[in-house]
Amino acid sequence: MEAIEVTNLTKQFDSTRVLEGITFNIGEGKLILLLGPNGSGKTTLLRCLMGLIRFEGEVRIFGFDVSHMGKQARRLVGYMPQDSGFYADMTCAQVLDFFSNLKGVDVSLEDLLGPIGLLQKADAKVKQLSGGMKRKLGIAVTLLGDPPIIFLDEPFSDIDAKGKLDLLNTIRALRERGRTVVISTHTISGVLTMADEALVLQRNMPIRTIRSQLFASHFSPTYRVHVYSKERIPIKEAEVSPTGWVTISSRDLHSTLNTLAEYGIDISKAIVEEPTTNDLMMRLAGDDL
Amino acid sequence: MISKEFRTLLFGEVTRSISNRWLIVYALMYAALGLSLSYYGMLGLGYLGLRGFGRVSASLINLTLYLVPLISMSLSGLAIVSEREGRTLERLLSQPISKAEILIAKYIGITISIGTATVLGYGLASWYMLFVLGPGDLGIFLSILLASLLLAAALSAFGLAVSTVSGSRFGALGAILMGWFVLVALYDVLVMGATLVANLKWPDLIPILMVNPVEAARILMIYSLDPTLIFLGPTGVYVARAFGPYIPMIFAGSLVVWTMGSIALALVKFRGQDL
Repeated sequence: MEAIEVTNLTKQFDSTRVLEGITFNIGEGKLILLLGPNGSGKTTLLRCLMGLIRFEGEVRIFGFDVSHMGKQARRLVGYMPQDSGFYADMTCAQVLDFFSNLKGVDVSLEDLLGPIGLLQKADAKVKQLSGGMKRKLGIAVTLLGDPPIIFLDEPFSDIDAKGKLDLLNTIRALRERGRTVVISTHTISGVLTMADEALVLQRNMPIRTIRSQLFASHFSPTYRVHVYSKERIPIKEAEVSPTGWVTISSRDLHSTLNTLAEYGIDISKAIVEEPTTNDLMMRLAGDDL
Repeated sequence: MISKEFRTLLFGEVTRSISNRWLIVYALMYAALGLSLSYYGMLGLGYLGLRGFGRVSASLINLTLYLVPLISMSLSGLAIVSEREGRTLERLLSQPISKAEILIAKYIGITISIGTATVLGYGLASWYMLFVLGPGDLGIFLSILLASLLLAAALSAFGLAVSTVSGSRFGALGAILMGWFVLVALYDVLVMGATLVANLKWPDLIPILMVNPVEAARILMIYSLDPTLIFLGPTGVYVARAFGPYIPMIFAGSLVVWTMGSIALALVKFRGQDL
């Protein structure tokens, strides 16, 4: 059985058709990227997959039709929306207690907040957390009960390089544990090297599937990572400026950040320039994929 | 059988509603006004005998008919639209729970919270009065309290329906305030105008009274004080003669219909919406 089956999915808001006749299947254990510029319908597609909005066509999660058996389907999915979506006056501990009860799972605070470095913030209210901390809390809530399918909507926005590396490591671990992961992103964010396929959404164009073997020829994104270091960084691509800032151009963001962290560089202050899918779309326009 | 998910939603809703600052203000204001009315009402007791109790009750009824609709509609009227604007609804709906469970949990949670605040407000006033009067009039107080709770239940449901169809908090708040003004203040004027213009007779006024939940609650409360409804003038006396002991059933029924109808509307609308 496929993890996700989408058949002839169409979604229209008033007179605007955002998604039209989309059909694809996603096998168990796959990591899929949902690429497309802003406004191309990535979030709408994820909301359809969750059964959060009405649509024409059919979506099945492990055989459960989300339109008619939404509760059963959502029991199998962890979903991280773009906005944290937590009640601002709840503490981190209350948030986790609330959502773990809704999911019907029994977990300890230490197990959930410890690995993401928020244990000391257990009694802090959501409104007191930084954007990055809210993201971490969002990930923890999304992964409650270790669901077999995970949807992440723009998970790399508003987080620093350290948070990005942590998230990439989490995604890699999920993939190694055989979880099916669908990531919607308008930046490539280093996850490209892990993905099995990319589904490319563009307005008024049919959805396109690009397999990982073809990523290099179609995407080959180059990232530029800027870090400040008084010490010499033994990476051959590193360009050192007289002010102490070092710029590294790389096609594998994950390994570059890992390498910098191994050299003891504080990557939480790193600045990452990454290609957006808008850039990719410009390149893909007219390509015969 | 109530599911664990529903219990979690309900507990969360009650916790959030009870800590809502407007509800706290409402409870404090209710308690302060109720106690003041009781105290000043009782000052004349020596001269008026037990009529002082009726006067205090009438004051409390007027207070209830202004405050309970306002707080019920305000709290429930922002319930769904605030979740939608604050993006918490998307996170909530992505859990293994249905829209119906979310809506019903919100309704019950808000009604329990308002009910608790109302009971506390009434409780202080009635405690003071019983201290002076003794337990003889407890039944009347409990009847008025029950009518207040029925009114809170009906208008919380109505507010929830408004919240479901509103596109923004601002729009919802406007609709709630307008609704409150029409039901509590304007309705009487409209009825008087219609009576003059259309030359309505007393029997014609009965359905008009039943249609407005605030009027239905007023009749229930006055009936608790005096089953002849003489406080309501000729119309009240006519209603008392026409329906007699069935008045509680008929007007409580009207509030129940308001409750069920509003919840049904909210459910249909909420289920048919994206997010």
